[in-house]
Amino acid sequence: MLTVDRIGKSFGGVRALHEISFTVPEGSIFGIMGANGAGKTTLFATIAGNLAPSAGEVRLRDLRLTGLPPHRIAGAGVARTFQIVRPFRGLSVRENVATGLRFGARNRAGAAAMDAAGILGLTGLEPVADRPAGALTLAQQKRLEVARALATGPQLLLLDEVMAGLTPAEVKEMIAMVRSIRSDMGVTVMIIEHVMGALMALSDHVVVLDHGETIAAGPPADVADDPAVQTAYLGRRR
Amino acid sequence: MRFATPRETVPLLLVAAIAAILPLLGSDYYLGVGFALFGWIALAQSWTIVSGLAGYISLGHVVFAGIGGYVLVLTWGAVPVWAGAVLGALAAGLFALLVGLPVLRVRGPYFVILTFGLAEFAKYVVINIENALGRFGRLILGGPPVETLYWAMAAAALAGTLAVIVTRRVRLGAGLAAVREDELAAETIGVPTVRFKLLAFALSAVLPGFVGALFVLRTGYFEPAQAFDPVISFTIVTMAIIGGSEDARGPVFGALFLVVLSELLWSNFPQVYMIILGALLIGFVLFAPNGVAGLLDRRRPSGGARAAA
Amino acid sequence: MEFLLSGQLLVAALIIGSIYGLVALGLNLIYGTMRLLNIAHGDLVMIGAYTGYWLFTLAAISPVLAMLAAGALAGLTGAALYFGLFRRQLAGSQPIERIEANSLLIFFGISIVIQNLTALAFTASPRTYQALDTLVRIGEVSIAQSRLVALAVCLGLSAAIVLFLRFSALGLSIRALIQHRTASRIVGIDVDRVQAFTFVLGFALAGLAGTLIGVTEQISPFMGFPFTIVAFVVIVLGGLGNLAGGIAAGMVLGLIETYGVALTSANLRSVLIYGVFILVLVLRPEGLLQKRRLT
Repeated sequence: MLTVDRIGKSFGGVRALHEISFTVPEGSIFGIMGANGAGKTTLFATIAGNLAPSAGEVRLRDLRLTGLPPHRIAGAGVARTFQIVRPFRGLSVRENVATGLRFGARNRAGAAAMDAAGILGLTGLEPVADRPAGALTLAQQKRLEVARALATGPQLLLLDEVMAGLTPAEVKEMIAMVRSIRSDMGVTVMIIEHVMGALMALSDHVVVLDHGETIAAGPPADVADDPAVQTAYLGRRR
Repeated sequence: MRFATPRETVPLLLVAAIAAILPLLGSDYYLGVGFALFGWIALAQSWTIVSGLAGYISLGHVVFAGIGGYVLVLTWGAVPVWAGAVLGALAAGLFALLVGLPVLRVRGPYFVILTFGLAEFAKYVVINIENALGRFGRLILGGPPVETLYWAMAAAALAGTLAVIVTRRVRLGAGLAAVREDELAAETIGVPTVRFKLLAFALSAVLPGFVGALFVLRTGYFEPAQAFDPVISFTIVTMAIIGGSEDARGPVFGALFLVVLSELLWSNFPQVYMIILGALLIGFVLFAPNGVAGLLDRRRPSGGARAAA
Repeated sequence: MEFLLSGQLLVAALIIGSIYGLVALGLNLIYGTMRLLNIAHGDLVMIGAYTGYWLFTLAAISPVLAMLAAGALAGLTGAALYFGLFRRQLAGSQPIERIEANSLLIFFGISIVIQNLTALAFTASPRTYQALDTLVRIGEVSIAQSRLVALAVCLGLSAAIVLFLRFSALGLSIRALIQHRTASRIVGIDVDRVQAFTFVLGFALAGLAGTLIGVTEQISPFMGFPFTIVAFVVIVLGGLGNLAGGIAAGMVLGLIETYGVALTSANLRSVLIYGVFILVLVLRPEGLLQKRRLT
């Protein structure tokens, strides 16, 4: 569904991404792993159009996304959340979701065409729907990130550390939510997560980044056993 | 379409009522005050579209009024009076479209000082053009009578109020609110931020162009330093901040308050008037950033999420 | 064309440039440490100019001494504003962007108040006075004494402040605050004290420069804003918190203005300065602080 083709990005002289290539199959949950600064968020930003890559291109089916402005990419059916949450603080939760519904993807077929009530219900934000987004707890703001992204009616949803900073119980809920987004709404999901267990449990396929390069890719079980991953990522952490 | 809320009906009815009542008082003085009041309402409402709804605070809105006035005097005698005023409005909108693309890339406080600089730049350019032409002020003789100007300005005030109300309701308004809250998030969920900002900027320029032309018709005189006076920009901002820039009520409240204050003080104590304006601006920014309208909402807790924000 | 190559014009440019550098230095310090956009900065210049005017006219005190009084007066104004208005703002939990935007509007109000108080006290009519006006000849160039003093004071003071920031403990704290606001608090810098000091210093520099400016330029309650604009141009050109860069940028602007006016006409001076200002901001739309757009 999504093809990332030899993407590269450097800031000044610093290489944040180098020759990243992979394909995300339709209907999958696709995990991105890597230590801090490995380039995960930069990768999402280049897919969603917030950053222009220095090299390579991203395609959604036959559509070349690279070079399009972010709102056109959203229009094509790609939504992302922000690791550091960016709700519309002065607007109510409902208005946040309504704004997503009013813009976003131009082609809302099938399950992607969910209404505000449905989205608020799915993300568990119904009780706080009329509160200003700035007044929510972090856990709620993370859910709002997901809710607003879903409201744009995406075919592909990029989730950037939506579980970081949550309690184990909240992580469990979030895992269930991501599963239902895929199975009930038919949305393909790419997910960046530091919570290793959650990522392994959720993903059908995992790519591991280290210093902006792909060091491993494959089903979660294989990747976890990969010696390169063990030294570069797991090994370094402990 | 939803029914009109008090936020929408109150300012509209207020403007319409004042417009209907003032002529009944039967004095040109009241027509003059009404003319000024409606002018300020039209300016402050226009300002609200780009600065209140989109959060791009313009400190140079006088530039559009100045352009409108200048176009009117340039076309004076060549086209009918009202065509000149409409041309002034269009010229202001066109100017906004032309400069908007680069200027609206500048964000936050830098946009604010940039707009001020832009207006001053335009002022000095016009001053130099006029000097080069050997013109030191232009007289306009035989403009429309006060009463006609009064009704034209009342129409402008209503149009401005309506423009804010309609913009808030349509997709453009929702997009601008998203831009104000978080521009990066807005474009990421599909808001065409560049196009919307430009549209808002142009919309907020047209009516001031018309108002500027009417100002010149009323005084019968065009002088660049006066037509592009930064105090006008400052007054617009202060009105909107005092009244509240969230919806169409604020500019009406703010303009009413300042016009009354100005009638009391301006002619005899202009500096005292300005000092009070400055102090009010500081006070409202610090203690009541949502203005009088915000204070009203706070007293009625049913105001919804915005009031609590 | 020949006069363009003369030393006279070059010296004039250097003098203006050094004044711009010093005026901008004060703004740069305040913006750098506290993110406060002091749009009233030029009004301190105006206060300094009036101080010089009145001390000379009433008591025949030389501008060289008067500038110290002007610095003190402007510094006191700064202290009053810091402790009266801004300390609470800065200590609050508001996001920095909010403080930045609010400070601009607050300072705008302050500017209007200062200008009109001055107009109320001294009328709005422009004034000039003659002090330090003997001509000094250096080679082919002849300069009024007042301008020579301005050049020496501005360059000397700018250099002194750069050295102070580099080598003194307080100076290091200021630089730390400019670079890492949050971290400074953690490493035990008394942020409030450093902020108060910087605020007062920034104001004092503007007042002091104002006296020097007032000797050679027309003094009026509304003379300040162009200097605010100039200061903004200089710190955008020179880089935020880069004080040496700012002084160099002041020189560049002095050269642009002097030669620009020499090539065209004095009437175009404002067009030129505002033109450069617009160009600089539009070409660096992220503003003074070059934010990394990582997300």
